[in-house]
Amino acid sequence: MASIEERMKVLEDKRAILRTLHDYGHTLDYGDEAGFMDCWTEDAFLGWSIIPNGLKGHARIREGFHVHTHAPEAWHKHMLAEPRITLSGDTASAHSYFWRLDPYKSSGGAPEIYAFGRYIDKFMRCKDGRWRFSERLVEKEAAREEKPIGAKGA
Amino acid sequence: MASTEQRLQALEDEQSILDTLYGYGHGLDYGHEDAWIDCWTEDAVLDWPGRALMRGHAELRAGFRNHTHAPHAWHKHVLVEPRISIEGDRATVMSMYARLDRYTDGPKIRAFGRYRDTLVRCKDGKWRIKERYPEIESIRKEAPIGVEPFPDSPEARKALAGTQGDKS
Repeated sequence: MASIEERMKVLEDKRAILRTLHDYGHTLDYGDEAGFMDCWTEDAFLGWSIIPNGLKGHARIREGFHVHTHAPEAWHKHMLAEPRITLSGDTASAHSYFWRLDPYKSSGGAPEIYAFGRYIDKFMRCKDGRWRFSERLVEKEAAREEKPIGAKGA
Repeated sequence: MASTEQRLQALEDEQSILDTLYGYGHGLDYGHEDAWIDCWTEDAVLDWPGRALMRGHAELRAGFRNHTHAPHAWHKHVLVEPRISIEGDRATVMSMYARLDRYTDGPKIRAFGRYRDTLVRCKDGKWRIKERYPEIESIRKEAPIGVEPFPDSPEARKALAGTQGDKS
């Protein structure tokens, strides 16, 4: 039987991981570069489908952040739901649903779903106690062909 | 005043219930049959609107096999805002859901509504669904890519007309 301390730690760890999952969307959508970078371990891998071979390490992930759109130039939301988190000591994995909302010219500026899919994530508990992504694979399962309002090259 | 043990147990129970609620969508959308069946008690009831009521693992398994899954059809049963009430070994939960699907011109919301659930704590400690009554409040007439049109039923006709409203 786990002790109260151990059981509390499990809940705290899952809550901390959930916070990092939420930070990803908030910082990306609103252009908080420092906040976004703090979500990743130094050697993390980010597998965005739009970038061949993905982004490995802070320098490349920062490049990716700069390539991505942010508010107020583009308004979008990376929505996350149903995170299934599995802890294993100082590492963890999570599978979550995502869908991204954007405004579209063809809809008169009204919001539509740009894409939906799944995040496959790995985390590490870092020396400062924070849980950070060591890997994020973005599986995009459906997407609109039309570029949203504010998209680069739209 | 509840003890530390009781307060901790309440938080653990809510987390365990959430894991089961999320297991429903992940299992159904990705075709994980055994994981999905493990979300249900042996005598569980699932009343998908427009289909015959399912009772027990055998009927649930048949219902699962008649449902679409990735990679043949990509959809998401997205559950949000679960309101969990626990009384001992039994819990009731009201959640909102939206189902996302692929259409020829991109992803869209196929339907939204509410799940009315009863879960129980089983002997192995896991919380499982004993009853799930999904309510469809709005549905898109057009069938998504790879998916059959929604079966005709009074609930579906109301949802198509956007007149479902709150039944509780």
